[in-house]
Amino acid sequence: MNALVQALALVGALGAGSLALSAAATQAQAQEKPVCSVWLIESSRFMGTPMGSFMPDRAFVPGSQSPLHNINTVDLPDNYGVIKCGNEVIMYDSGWKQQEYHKMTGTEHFTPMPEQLKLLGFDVADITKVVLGHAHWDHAGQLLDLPNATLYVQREELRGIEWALNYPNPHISAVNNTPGGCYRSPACGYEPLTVEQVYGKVLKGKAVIVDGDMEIMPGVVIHPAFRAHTAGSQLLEVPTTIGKVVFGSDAYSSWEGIRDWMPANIQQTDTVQQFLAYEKCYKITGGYQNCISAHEPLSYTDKYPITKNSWVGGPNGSRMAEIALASGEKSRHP
Amino acid sequence: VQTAPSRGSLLLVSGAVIALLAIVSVSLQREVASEPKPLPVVRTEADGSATTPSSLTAEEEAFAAALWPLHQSVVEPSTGRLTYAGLTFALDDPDPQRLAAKLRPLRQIFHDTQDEVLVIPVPASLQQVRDRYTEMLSLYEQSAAEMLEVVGDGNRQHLIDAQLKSENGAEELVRLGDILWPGEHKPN
Repeated sequence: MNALVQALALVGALGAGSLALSAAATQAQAQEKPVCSVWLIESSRFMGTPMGSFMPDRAFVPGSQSPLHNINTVDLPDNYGVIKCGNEVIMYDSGWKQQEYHKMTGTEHFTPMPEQLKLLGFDVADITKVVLGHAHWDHAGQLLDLPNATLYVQREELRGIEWALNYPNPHISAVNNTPGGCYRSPACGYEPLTVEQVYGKVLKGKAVIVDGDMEIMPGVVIHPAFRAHTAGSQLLEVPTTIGKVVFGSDAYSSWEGIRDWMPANIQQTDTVQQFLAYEKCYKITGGYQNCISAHEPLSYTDKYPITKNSWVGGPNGSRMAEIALASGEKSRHP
Repeated sequence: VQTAPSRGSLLLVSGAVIALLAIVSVSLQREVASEPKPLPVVRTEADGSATTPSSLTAEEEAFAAALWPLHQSVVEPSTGRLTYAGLTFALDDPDPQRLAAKLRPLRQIFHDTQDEVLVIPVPASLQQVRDRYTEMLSLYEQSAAEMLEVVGDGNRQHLIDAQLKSENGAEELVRLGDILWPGEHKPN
């Protein structure tokens, strides 16, 4: 009987020891798990966009008291992300080339990206990777200013552009359908200069053509969102101290759209795929709060909580937000 | 035992049914009339169909309008096709003959389009802009010719040199577009 008791005690002690070791290992693993610091920057702001053009389900109805139909126009920021993981600085999207000759009428908050990065304490030469959510000109427009950055773009995005440009019907292959621009035709948005800069990165050996998912750093993962805005849209999952965040570029044009399950900014978009991209953020982050949107009108305000820690950074009023800081990383908020 | 209804009672029942139908009909009409009618969606100048106001004179507008079809349906798609000829060669299909088959017609298009632009009547105020437009096309023609060199000697440096030319051409294309068709590129 004594022997049985001793044996049981030994088994118990071994079990407890093993549990303690396992817990310690898990804790150590959690401590080692890399987390990144994340900022959001406003490249510019597109003024006076009709709400119905941005979110069809929320088209303005004069006299309506419904919050779904009482907004006529919205001002859309054009956001990109800066992500620091260890010593690496990554950008998600790159805004658009802000030149005197390329200032759209009715656009505000111009600040060149190199100046914006300086305000965060970075130099353009520090950027080692740039992940394109998609290759439209207002999100992929400053690649020449990132000499050391390796470009990550989905193969499907490149294929989609090529297909559109070579389609025999000029209504489909045209980059612009009218002198006033275009919105939803297949080649629309792929300005020749932007496509040329993507090609330049490829020739210089500074491009990775992504097929589907790819972990580009520990915990930093590209997820495809095919046709959620363009043929080869892609999301970026980033581990932070506030949990995982997911950048969505124009697959996530509207954060309210993700929250309320409404399509937004339908360019070359399959709305079913856009909803699946929304769902991806819910699955990865556990909700909609940590989904980072490219054009959410509420950006940099309390109403879009993850961006509320914000300030005016650029000389022309461009805004930036500190979303998460890794341990030991100093705040950039003035 | 069932008995046939009298004519009087039939008339009475029919009258009651007609009266009921009339009441229901009037009620329905009132109901429909009291429902709020959907109001038309207000469109603003920022809508997709609108164009950005131009500061060009009528003569200059006429030049821009005459150039637009070439710019829209020939020049811009051809620049993209040139870029993609190189991109496909660099990434997926290193066959020089297939590259040449794409480049030769494009080089010809850039060459011929210069002549087509030159015959469009241009006001003196836009002569320089017109000249810059043909120079931009010439840059693309030179880029296509430089890329074709790789077919002969296999030296990929030609692609890099050609890309610098077409990148300069693409930047000039944006500058000129901003003068002739301001707001040509909308947010996407």
